[in-house]
Amino acid sequence: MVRALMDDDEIAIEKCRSGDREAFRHLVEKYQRQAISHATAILGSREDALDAAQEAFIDAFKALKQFDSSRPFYPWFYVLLRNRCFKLAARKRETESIDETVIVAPNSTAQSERILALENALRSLDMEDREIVTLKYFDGLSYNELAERLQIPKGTVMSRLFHARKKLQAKLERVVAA
Amino acid sequence: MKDLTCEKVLIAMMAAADGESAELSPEEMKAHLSACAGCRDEAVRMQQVNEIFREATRRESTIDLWPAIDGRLVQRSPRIGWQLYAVVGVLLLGYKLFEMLPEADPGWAIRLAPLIIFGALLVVLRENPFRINTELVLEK
Repeated sequence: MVRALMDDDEIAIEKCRSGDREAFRHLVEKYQRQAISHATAILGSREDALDAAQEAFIDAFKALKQFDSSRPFYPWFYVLLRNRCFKLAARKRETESIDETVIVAPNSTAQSERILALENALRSLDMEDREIVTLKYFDGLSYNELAERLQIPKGTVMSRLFHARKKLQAKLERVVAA
Repeated sequence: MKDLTCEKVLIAMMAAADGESAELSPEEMKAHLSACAGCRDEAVRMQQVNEIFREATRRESTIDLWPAIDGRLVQRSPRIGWQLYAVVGVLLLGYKLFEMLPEADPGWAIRLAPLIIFGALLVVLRENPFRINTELVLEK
């Protein structure tokens, strides 16, 4: 299944390299939801995430010639996406006031105040902590996968994840105690 | 028993809970927990945070980025066919043949023609030959 999906991408990428924009559309439509969600989790803002994802896709189109198509597309694209997020964040530091959740959505059984508290707690973390925590909890990435995505050693993944979780625990103390 | 720091034990417990290989054995973790109330509390809190995350999922967007991206790509890459390259090739070949004529004495303006043709080609292609591509360097 994964192989079939990769083959699909490989064909599209080959076509993109010869300037086929329609083939790139396939990649954008396939990965945009994931990209916007990941960018939102890093930036904490839907508007900024849309800008970052758009720029990252343009970067990917320009850089596809350097992409090793035997590897999966998204982890490679993710590096471009987070570069764009960090660049954008360096320019825009202000945080939006929150009256809706943009990072998390409730499962059917969830209480809305706990979800809002989780959203607030995540937003109060710094970008790197928010990124690693959401990749772990929502995408269920292993430590090796996190190391590849974030381009850091596995030991750093463990310690960064541990400290990010501790900060999150402190922010969620009131909700957890309730 | 090894002298274990609380942080080391908690990181090992986190790894075990995440289904990863932990640096400490379950016996070592248990032995530390039975003697350390702080770590026992911490382990409970870790569990409670995991519970909250189980109630949540990533919010997904239904916004379609393609129209905006397509617009940008069209702007960026004008449709250049082989004809343009053929015209440039013919012009440069013509210049070379003209230069080879024994009685030809082109002035300095004509001598600049190949450079002007090449420059015009770069303008049409919107390419900067001096641009350094730094976009793939991971920045923090």
